[in-house]
Amino acid sequence: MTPTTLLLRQVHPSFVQAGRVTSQAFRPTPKDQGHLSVDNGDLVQAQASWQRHTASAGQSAGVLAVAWAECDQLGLPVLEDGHPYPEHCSLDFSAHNHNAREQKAKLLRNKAQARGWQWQSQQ
Amino acid sequence: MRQAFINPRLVGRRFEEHTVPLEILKDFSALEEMVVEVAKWKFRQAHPDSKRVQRNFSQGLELHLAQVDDGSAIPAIVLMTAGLVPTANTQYFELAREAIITAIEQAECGDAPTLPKHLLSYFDRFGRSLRAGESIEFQTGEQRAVTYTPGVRKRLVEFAEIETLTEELALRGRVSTINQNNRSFVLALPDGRQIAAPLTDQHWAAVLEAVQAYRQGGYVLVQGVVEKDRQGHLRGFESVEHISPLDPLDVTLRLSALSELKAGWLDGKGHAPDPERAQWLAQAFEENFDAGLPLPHLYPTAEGGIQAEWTFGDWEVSLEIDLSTQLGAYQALNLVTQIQHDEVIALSERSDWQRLNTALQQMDGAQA
Repeated sequence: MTPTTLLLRQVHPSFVQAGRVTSQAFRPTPKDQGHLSVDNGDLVQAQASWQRHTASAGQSAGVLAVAWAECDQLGLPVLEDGHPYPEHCSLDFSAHNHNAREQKAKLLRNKAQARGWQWQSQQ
Repeated sequence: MRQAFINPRLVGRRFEEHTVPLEILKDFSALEEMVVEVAKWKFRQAHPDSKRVQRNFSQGLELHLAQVDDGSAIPAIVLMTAGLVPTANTQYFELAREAIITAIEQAECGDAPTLPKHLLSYFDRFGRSLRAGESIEFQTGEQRAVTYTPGVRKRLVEFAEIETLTEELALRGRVSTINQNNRSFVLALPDGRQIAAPLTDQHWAAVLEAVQAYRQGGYVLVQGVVEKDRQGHLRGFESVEHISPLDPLDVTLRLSALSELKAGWLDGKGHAPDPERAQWLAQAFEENFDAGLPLPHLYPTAEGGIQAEWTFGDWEVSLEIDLSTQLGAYQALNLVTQIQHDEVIALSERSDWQRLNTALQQMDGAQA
């Protein structure tokens, strides 16, 4: 993984309204134990990442991406955990409180939307 | 001459400025019709040998709104008589007033009203303009008041055993069809129901525009009087007062859609927003959010709440709303300077809505 490696994030359809994505798409839920799931863009293409997610009953309006360096600047370690599949990674928010998580999520969402959809569902 | 007749107290936010919305006057017009008919009924009770009420029974007797007194809003309604002295029939108007208030009190207590069913049907129109949380109080003694609410009205109308109940309603939907032959149009509601409505000349342009926007998902707000059957099923519009195109970010429409989410909506994890609480939030936005500000984008949260978000130039604003506590976690972040404001907004408090409006206005103004 390099500073420019893209980390691919699936965006749930309810997290998109009139083309705008909520910052929640980049914030772990309480059940995620502070870890936000992403895929290593060096190992998998956005379309393939989306296909695997939706094939396993997950819903996704498309794939956005942030760079490894952008996460590093925000103090978010990228864990190459390889679980439950080899290219799976986690952004570690666990050191931050709720307000700080929301702040970082806003910054990540902004970077990702500026970069544009890496893959978008046609539905 | 004129004599004091009834001084009902209107209770609710709309009446706090000691004014009476013109819309409510329609209800009092219906009350006058009811008073006349109940007075005739009282006359017949007092004269069982009379086959019919005299032809000019109510001639020269009218109810007028004399003034609006303070105390939420109290319309002073007087009985006007044509001559210098009260007519003989004045007493039946007073008996009618008492009978109507008694019927309301009986329904309020859960008892069957003593008014005949054909007279109870007037309650379909009297009180139709009252909104949730509003009421009309009738003083019946020094310390006692009878309270007429939309719920009491519903019970009275149920006792009337009429086929069709009417209600003032605002419905959101898309216009799917115009029928030029019978001058009507069809409003397709988000839940799939198709509601017919009369098409009048003054609404022709708005309906035509709406039907053209159908394929692009253009929604309109149709306000008017709807007919319902006794089970509460919507039959259609009896009349239409206003048709307005909706903002694509319309809060009520979006919250209604989010209320359809089921438990586990977030790939097995998300809690569903409670529909009644989401409806409360829609109402709260309607009443408190500054209409001059851009509407928020709204998203469900994994915890069953709602997150509202705005973008004003470099400012990203979120309000994470817990529907059960009615508290919102507000965060405004400047993406360039990283200046950040966090606070808690109590959405049950008007003063906190004002704080929210002021904060958003400052960012909106700085952006312009």
